[in-house]
Amino acid sequence: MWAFAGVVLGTAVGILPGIGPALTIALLLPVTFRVDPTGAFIMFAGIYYGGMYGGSTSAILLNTPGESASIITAVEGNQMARKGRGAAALATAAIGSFVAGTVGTIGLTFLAPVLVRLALRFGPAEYFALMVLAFTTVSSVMGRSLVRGLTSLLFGMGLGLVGIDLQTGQARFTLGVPELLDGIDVVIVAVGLFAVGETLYVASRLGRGDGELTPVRGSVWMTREEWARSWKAWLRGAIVGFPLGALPAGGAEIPTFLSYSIERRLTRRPDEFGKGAIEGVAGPEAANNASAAGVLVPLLTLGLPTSSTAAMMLAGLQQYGSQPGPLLFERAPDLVWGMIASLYIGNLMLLIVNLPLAGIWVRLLAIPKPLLYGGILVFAALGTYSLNSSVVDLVLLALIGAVGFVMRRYDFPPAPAIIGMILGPMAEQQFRRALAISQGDPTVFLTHPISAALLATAALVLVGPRAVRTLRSRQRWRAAAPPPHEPYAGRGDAR
Amino acid sequence: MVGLAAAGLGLFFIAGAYALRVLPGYARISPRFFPVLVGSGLVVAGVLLVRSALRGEAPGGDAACDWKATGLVAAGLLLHMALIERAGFILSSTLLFGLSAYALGSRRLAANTLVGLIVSAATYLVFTRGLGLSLPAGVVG
Repeated sequence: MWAFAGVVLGTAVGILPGIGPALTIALLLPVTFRVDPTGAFIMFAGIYYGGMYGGSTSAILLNTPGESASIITAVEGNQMARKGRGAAALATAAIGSFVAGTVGTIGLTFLAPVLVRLALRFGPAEYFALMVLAFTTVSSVMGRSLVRGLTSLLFGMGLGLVGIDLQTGQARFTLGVPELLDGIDVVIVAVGLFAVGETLYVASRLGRGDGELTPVRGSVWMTREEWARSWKAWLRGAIVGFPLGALPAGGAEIPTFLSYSIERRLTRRPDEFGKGAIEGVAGPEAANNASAAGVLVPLLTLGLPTSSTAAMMLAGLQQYGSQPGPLLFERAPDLVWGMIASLYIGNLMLLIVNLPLAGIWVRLLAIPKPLLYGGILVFAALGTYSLNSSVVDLVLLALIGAVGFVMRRYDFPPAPAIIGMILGPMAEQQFRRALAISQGDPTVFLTHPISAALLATAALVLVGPRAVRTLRSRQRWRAAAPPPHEPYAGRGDAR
Repeated sequence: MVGLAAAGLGLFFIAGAYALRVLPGYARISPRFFPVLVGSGLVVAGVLLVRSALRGEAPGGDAACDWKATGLVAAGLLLHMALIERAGFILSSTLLFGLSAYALGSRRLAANTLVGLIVSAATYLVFTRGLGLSLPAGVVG
């Protein structure tokens, strides 16, 4: 039941242009407050998958990807819609999401216990190293440049520092405002950066680049040929997506881009690519959903969010006083496995809800933009206010929204800020714990083999690409092409 | 510009960190360390951003910007903030909705206000009755 509600809500909100899955969860967090933990977890799972899928619908029909992971879908899918095969594109995206989501969830089921066993041997030093690795990969993968990613990450970490220091009980950076003692709620930051920042940005660029709705035509049922061309792409996409999602590298862009280039290379009709090739929708959509399942692996086993959506889910789970991680598997196995089981159900629901109802969802896209953003702001303010019933939170929301606007305008990815905000304080705690155990000897991080290896990888991520680029720089100048139209707030908000 | 702001924020964190009183017992793993780290990181990032801006690399986002619309949305947020506890959720949200819809180019004031009123009232009912959250009722009980 909760899974159904989650899928419906997730799809409905996710379909609206300008709202990615991370914002979907942030906005719906207040709704789940009053639900018991298991129900809420299940609903999260539904919202997560629903939100992911919703993004592809607006990508296909409007050519405005709601999230970075749908950029590729927009390229081929919108062409298909223009050719009157929009319904088939939606169908292959839905079935592909289902296939890949199932493959990914199976992977999660088998991989999670293995990782948990490994993670139980982790000490604070290893956790700290792991988080450092996540910081570097997240800020280098997302967004246009490393400096931008890092700036965003550090901004988030700074926000995370506000409040009472957990180990000494001192108040830090509260500027004497008592409401800040508890720290800044991550929901406010997410809603501020994504919803308020985006609305201000849309207002600042009024009348430019409006997406145009392509009506859905054609049968939902795919022809035999379309099936034949799709199923291999689904499987390949799933196989590419899951492991990349499970790595602490964040972002569904890489798997989707990779899947697209694989399909392009393997197809028998290379001439159709760029003009609406069904493989170009099926593969990346599958990769997208499989990596979404992959992201849950580090989230559930290590408590490590690697995308802004995962960070929001973590925030939601923390509200119930449960800290995901290896201990959660031991302490509340029914909760964790219940959630994993609900992923299967949610996936199935997604298919059932979306195939016949695609036409109804499309109506949502017809909401005029001014009303849509007006509604987004009302809900943003509502969600923020209902956290603590405090006006201070609204002030924060506006301030962070202003920062979000600047970041959006000058091309800073918002996702690292969210991740830094959640992981920053955790990293600090582990860091100080590790030092306390070693009695202040900073070499613990290098003498523990796992920790040393993780830190070395992190250093490589920071320096490696730059070294490679310097070597190649004389041959090529930035291969990355700009995304079509203007994708919502940034590449970073995938998943 | 952004770079300068980032560097400034970084300095703020460093300064704030040194303003903290550190109890001697915790000296080794001081609560200062992380703020200093974050602060210096921001300063470095800010300097790098300023450098790339001086080199004339595209700052991203073109210069054109509709400040009037942006300002209206911001004003809507500020008004909402000021009014929510006095006029109540429904009225302040209706105002916020109407202002931002107007800012984004919709000129049908009456219709928008009506939609805003319906949206706000409906969410108010769902949240207070259905989910048991409390929102300020204000003028309209």
